[in-house]
Amino acid sequence: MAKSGLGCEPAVGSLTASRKREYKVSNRVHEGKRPLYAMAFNFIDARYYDVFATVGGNRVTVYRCLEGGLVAVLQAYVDEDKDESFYTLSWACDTDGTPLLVAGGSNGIIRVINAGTEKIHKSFVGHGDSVNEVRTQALKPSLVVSASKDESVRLWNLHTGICILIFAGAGGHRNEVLSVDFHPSDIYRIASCGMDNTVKIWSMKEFWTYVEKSFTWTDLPSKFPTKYVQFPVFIASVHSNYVDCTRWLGDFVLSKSVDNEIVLWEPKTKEQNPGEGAVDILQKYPVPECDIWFIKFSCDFHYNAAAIGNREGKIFVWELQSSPPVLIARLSHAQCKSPIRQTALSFDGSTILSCCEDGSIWRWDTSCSSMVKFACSLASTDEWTSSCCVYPGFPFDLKISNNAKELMYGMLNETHTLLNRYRCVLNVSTCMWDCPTAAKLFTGGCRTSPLDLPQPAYSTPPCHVSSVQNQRLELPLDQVIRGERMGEAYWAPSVVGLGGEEIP
Amino acid sequence: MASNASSSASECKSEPSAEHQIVGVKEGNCTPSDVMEIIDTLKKQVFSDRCTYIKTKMDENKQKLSSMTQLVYNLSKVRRNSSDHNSDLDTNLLTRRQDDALCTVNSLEQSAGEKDSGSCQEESSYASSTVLIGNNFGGKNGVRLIKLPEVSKLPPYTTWIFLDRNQIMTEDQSVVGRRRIYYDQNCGEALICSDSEDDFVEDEEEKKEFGTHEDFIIRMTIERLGLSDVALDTLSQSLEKNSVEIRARFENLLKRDSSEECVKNVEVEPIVRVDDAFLEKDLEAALDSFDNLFCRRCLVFDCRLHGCSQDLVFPAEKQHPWTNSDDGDPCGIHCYKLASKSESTATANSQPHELEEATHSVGSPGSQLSPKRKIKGSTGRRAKSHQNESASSNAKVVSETSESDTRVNQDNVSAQLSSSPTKNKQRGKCGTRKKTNKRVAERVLICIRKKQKKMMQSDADSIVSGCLVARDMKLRSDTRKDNKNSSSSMINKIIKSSTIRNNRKKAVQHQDSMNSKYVEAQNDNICQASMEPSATEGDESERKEEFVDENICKLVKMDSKPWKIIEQGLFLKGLEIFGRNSCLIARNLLSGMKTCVEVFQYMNHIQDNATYRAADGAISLVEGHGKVSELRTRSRFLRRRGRVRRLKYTWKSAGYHSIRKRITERKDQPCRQYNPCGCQSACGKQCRCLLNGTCCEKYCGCPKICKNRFRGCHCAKSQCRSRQCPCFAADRECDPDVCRNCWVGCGDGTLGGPNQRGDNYECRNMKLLLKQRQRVLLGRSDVSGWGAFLKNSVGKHEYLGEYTGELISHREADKRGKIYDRENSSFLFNLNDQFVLDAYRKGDKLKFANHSPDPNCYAKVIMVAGDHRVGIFAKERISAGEELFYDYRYEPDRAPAWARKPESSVSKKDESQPSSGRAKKLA
Repeated sequence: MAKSGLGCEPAVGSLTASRKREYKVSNRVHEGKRPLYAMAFNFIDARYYDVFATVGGNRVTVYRCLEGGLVAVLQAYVDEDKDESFYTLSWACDTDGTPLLVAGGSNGIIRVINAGTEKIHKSFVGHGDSVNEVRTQALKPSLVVSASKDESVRLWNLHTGICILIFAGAGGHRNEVLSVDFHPSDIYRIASCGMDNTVKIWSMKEFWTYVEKSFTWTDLPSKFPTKYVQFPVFIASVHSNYVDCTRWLGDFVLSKSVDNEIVLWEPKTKEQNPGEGAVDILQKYPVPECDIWFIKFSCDFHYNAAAIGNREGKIFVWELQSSPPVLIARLSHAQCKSPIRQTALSFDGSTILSCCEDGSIWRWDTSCSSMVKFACSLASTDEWTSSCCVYPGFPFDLKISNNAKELMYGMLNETHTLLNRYRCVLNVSTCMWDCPTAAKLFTGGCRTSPLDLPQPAYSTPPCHVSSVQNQRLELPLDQVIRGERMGEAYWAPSVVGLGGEEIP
Repeated sequence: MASNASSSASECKSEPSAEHQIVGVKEGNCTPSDVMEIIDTLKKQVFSDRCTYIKTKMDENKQKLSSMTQLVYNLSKVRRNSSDHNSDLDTNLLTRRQDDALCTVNSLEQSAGEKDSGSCQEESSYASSTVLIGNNFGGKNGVRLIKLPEVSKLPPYTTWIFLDRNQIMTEDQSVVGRRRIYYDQNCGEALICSDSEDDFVEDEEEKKEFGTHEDFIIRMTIERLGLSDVALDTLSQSLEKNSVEIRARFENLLKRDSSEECVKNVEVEPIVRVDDAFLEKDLEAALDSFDNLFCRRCLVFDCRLHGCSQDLVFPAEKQHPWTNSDDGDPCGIHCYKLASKSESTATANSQPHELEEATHSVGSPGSQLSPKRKIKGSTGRRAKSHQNESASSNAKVVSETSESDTRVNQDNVSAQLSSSPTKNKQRGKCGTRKKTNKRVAERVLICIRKKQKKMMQSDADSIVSGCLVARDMKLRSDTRKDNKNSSSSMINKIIKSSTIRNNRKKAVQHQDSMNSKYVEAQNDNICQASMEPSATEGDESERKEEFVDENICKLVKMDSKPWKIIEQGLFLKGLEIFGRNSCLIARNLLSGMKTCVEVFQYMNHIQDNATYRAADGAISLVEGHGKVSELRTRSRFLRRRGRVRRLKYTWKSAGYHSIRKRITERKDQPCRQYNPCGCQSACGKQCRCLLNGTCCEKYCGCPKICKNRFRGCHCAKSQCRSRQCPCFAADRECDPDVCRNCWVGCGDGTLGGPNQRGDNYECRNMKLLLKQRQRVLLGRSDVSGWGAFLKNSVGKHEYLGEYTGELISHREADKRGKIYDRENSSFLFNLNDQFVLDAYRKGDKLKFANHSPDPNCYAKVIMVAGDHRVGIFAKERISAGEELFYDYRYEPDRAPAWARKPESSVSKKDESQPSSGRAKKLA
C-alpha cells in the first residue's frame, strides 16, 4: 500500500538469526483439544510477573511459570455456555489492587474474573458481536479497551462496570476491529486496526471527563452517559489486507497484516487538520509463513523483544528496538506444527510461551534464564535505577552488554568501593551463558533482592553472596562475582565482573 | 507514502553541505558505467542516511520508552506493596495458588515427580470438577474448574449511531472501488477477495513526483557530470523516470534555488499585520465560508443532509427590511438619539444659508410625501396593468410588484423603458433619476428644516448660557459639518451624477462596487470638508475660530476611525436587514467596531452621497423603505382577500395540473429527488425542477408566481388527513410556509401563539416535520434478532417514527448490498430515483423493525420541506408493547428467502440465501 520512495525505505531485518540467545523447549502442556487463541503474562502486578493465563474454547486457565521449565496450573475457569469461544484475554486490576482477568470471545460478552477470589467480577454485555481483543491501560489498570466484530472499540471501567466510550461511527472502522492497544505514555491515545485494512489512532482527550466521571459513578452502569467518539485523529493505510495486530512502540506503531511481516511506522499527525497525516515506515520485521490472519505478536515488558508464531508452528523472536532489526532467535520444534496464534514473553523475555491451535502450550527458556533474571534484577534494583533503568534487557546482545559494562561502572561509582580497582571486561558471548553454578548462585542470591523474582524451584538455602565478598571467585568460566550487602533489606547488586582484571 | 520524503527532508538538507568527494570523474568523457557508479554511490549515501535517520529515531524512541516502562514497572511494584500492607494475603487466592504451586513442585521434586496430582487440592470440598493438565515432566496438575455463570448474549448487531435525520454519505464512506476481503466463517482462514466482476479503480497511478532524495541525486549527478545525455539517460534508468522529465526537474531545481535565495533576501520584509487580515477582507470574502458551509435549507452550518458547497440559490424575491417599530428608547450611551439633540442644534445655526442654496438648486420644495407619490405614480402605471391581468388570472402579481421594494424603482424604470421607444430611453431614464435625486434632496432639506425649527430656541438658550458640554459641542459641529458637506456636495453631485448616470446606467450594482464608491464618496467628502471653512467663513464670522479648530478635530477623527471595507459591507447588510435603524445595525452587526452614533452619522453621510449615485440596492432601500413597507402590508391584505374571493381553491386548479399528473403516474416509479432551481424569473423550459420532473419548492430561486411551484393546501377542517388535501395526495407533508391553514404553535403557548390562520384545527400532516413520533423501544424480537416495539398504543394511520439513515447512491447501494447479503441483514431502503437509505451504521431504532408479510405498519416516502423521508405509520390499531412489523416489499426477484411471499415463516436467519442481487426495502 504505502510505496516507499527513494530515501524512505524501511530498514528490513535480516532473517539470519543472530543466535544471541538460545532458547530451548523446556515444557509442553496440553490443555485440551480446542485451539488456544490468546495468552498473556501478568505485567500489571509485580507479584505475578510469572503468572500467565491462556484462553481457548470456553475456558480460561491461569498458570505459573516455575523455574526449571515447570508450568503449574493455578486456576481454571469455564464458561457455562459451551458455545463460547474466548478469543482474547488481558490482565488488569481493580482500583484496590485485586488481580483481574478480562476475557472476551465469540459471544461478545466481556468476562471480568477476580483472580483473587476466583469469582466472576463482572460481565460486560454490550458488544454486538464477538470481541477480538481486550487490552489494559497499564497506567490505570482498571481501564480496558475491547475491539469487536461489531466495528466498535469500547472503553470500559472494570471498577464500576461502565462502558465509558464507544469508538465508532462516522470515522470508525468499516469492518471488524481485530486489535487495539493503549499508548504507553499518552493516556488518551489508543490505536486500533481491523479488517478494513486500516490502523486508526484515537484520542479521548476531549472525553476524559467521562473517564474520570466513571470512577465515581454510583448510579446504575447502564445510566452512564456513554459517549461516541466518532472521529479518529489519524487513519493509516499501511497494509492492504486485514490488520490483525497492532501495538505501540513508544510513539511508533507496530502492526501486522497477513503479508509475512511486522511493520514499524511512525504516524505523522497534523495538529491542525486531524484525520490527515502521513505514515513513515521505519522498519520491517519479516516473519515467513505468516500469511493467515489472527496471529498476534507479543512483547516483553520493556519492549525489547517481540515474539510471533507462524502458520507452521515456528516462532520468530525479534529485537524490536535495534536498527536494523535483529532476529534474536528462530524457534522450531519437530512436534510443534500447528499455527501459533499468540505468544507471550515473560517480563524480561527469558521465557517465551506459545499457544497453538491444537491446544498445546509450549514453553521456551533461554539457557541462562536465571542469569538473565539476575542481571535484570540488577538493572531494576532501586539503588541503580538512575543509571540502570535503561538496561533492562541487559544480556540481550553485545551492545547491551556494553551497557552492562556501564551499568557496572555505574554501580562501582555508586558503591565507591570497587572504583578503579577493576575494569570489567565483558566477554559475554564467550563466558556468560550456560553457567549453571553461577546461575544457581545468582538465583539463590536474588531471593532476597527487592525484585520478587520467582523463587527458584530448588530448595537451596539463600546463598549469601556476602560470603564471597571481596574475594575472587573462581568459577568455571573464569568469572569474578562480587556481592555486597547494602543496608538491611536489600541485596547489593552483585558485581558481575566477567573476566575481571585488576587495574594496576 | 509520498510524504515520507518530508520526514527525512531535514536529513537531506544537510547533505549538500556534508558532501563527500567522489574522486576521479572527468567531465565530458563519462561513460554510462561511470555515471552509474556515481548514481550508485549517491544512492548508497541516501540509503545510509536513511539508516542513520531511522537509527536516531529508534534511539530517541527507546529513551522515551524506557522511562515509560520504568514508570509502569514502579506502578506495578507499588501495587504490590500497597496491597501487601492493606489486605491480608489470605484473601488473595491467586497469591495462595502461586505459593501452592511452588510447594507442589517442590514436593514433586522431592518425590521425584511421581506424586499424585491430588496433593494440591486442599479445597476439593467444593470443587465441582477438576482439570488435569499434563506436562512432560510426568507430574499432573489438578485444579478444580470454576464455572462462570452463563449470561445471555445479545442478538448480533453492528455498532450504529443514532440519527435524528437523514445524512448524506461522505466520500470516505464509499465502498465503491474499494477492495473488500471476505473470510469464510466456516473454514476460518480462507480469504475471498471481493467479487471479480468489480473493476477496481487503480488508485495508484504512478506518481511522477520527485522526492527530495531523487532531487538530490539528480542535482548531484548533473552537477558533477554536466548536463550530458549519458547522465540523463542513466539517471532516467535508475530512477525509472523519463529523461526529459529529469531535465525539466533539474531546471526546476535550479530555478527554485535562485528563488529561495531571493526569498531569503526579501524575507525580512513581509511581516505585516496579520491580525488585520480579517478586517481587510471585504464582506464577500468573509461571507464565503458562510455561503459554503451554511445550509439555507436547514438553516444550520455544516449540514449533514445537504452537504457543504451547495449551489447558491438566491431568491428572486428579496426579503423586506425588518420593520421594527422604533420604541424610541436609546440603545445605549452611544445611541444617536442621545446625540441627536446637540446635533440638531448645530444644524440650526448653520442651516439657513445652505437651505436656501439647496432649495434653489432643487426647485420648489414639496412636502415630504410628494416624492413618494411620484414613485407611486410611476409604479402605479405598472401596477395597474398588472392588476388588469391579475384580475383574470392571478392576484399575486400585485403584491409581487409592491412587495419587492428595491426593485420597484428599478423595475419601474425598466418597465417604462421597455414600453417607450428606444430614443426616449436615455432621456426618460435621466428624467426619472433626476426626479429621484431632487426628491431625495428635498427630503433631506425638509428634515433639516424641521429639526431646525424645533431646536432653534433651545439651541440659542444653551449657547447663551454657555454651559454646553465639550463633547456636545464637538458632536454638534461634527454633524453640522456633515450636513454642510452633504448639502453642498449634494448640489455638486446632482449635476455630476446625472451626467455620470448615463455611463453607468447598465451597470448592475453589486456590493463591492458600491463599497468602492463609498470610499470614493468619503474621500470626496473629506476634501470638501477641508474646503469648508473658507466657504462658511463669510457667513458665520462670529464662529470662525471655533470652526477651524473643530474642523481639524473632525478631520482627525475621520482619519483615526475610517470605515473598513468589511465594516462598510456589514453596514450595507445591516441596512438590508434592519432598514435605517442604526441602533440595531450597530448592535447586531457592528458591535465592538462602531457605535450607534457612528453608524448613524455614516448612514446619513452615505445616504447623502450615495442616493444620488445609485437608485438601487441598499441605499434607495434606506430611504424608501418606510413607505414601501406600508404599501406592502396593505397590498398583502388586498391580495389575500382577493384570492379567497376569486379562486375556489381546489387542487384541480391550474397550478396543480402537472402535479396531479405526476401523482397519478408516479405509483409505479420511484419519486424524483428535488434540487432547488436558481431561476430568477418564473421557471421556463430550462428550469432544473421542470426538467427533472419535480415541483419548484420554497427553496427555489424562482418567484412565488412560478407555475411549477407546489402551492400547498388550503384545507381547514379536514386537517389534511385525506387525499382531498393536495399535500396529502401528493405524498407531501404540509408546510406552514406554503400551506394556508397549516400552522405551527411555538412552545406550550405561554409565550403567545402565532396568529392562527384559518380555523382552529391543527394540521395532522406535519408529523415528520415536527418530529411528533411515538416512543419506540428496542428489544429482543419474538421473531429473530432485534425488534422494534411500541411503547404506547396508537390508532390507525398514526405516525410512528422515521426510518433514518445514510443517503447513498444506487450504485453505492448495489455494492453495499452485496456486502450486506453476506451478513444476511439489510438496512437498505429505496428512497427515490437518486438515493437509497442505508441504516446499517447510522439510523433509528425503527431500522430493527422486522419484515412480515402480514404487518401492522407500513412505510411511506414523504416529501418534507423538499426532502424525501421515510415515515413508518400504523396500519391498524397497535396496542402498547407490540412488536412492529412492516412489509419490506422487496422486489420479488431480489427478495431474500425469508422475505418471499409464499413462505409465511418469517425467519431472518434463513441460511439459504439467494445472492441474486441486492435487496432493498420499498415504501
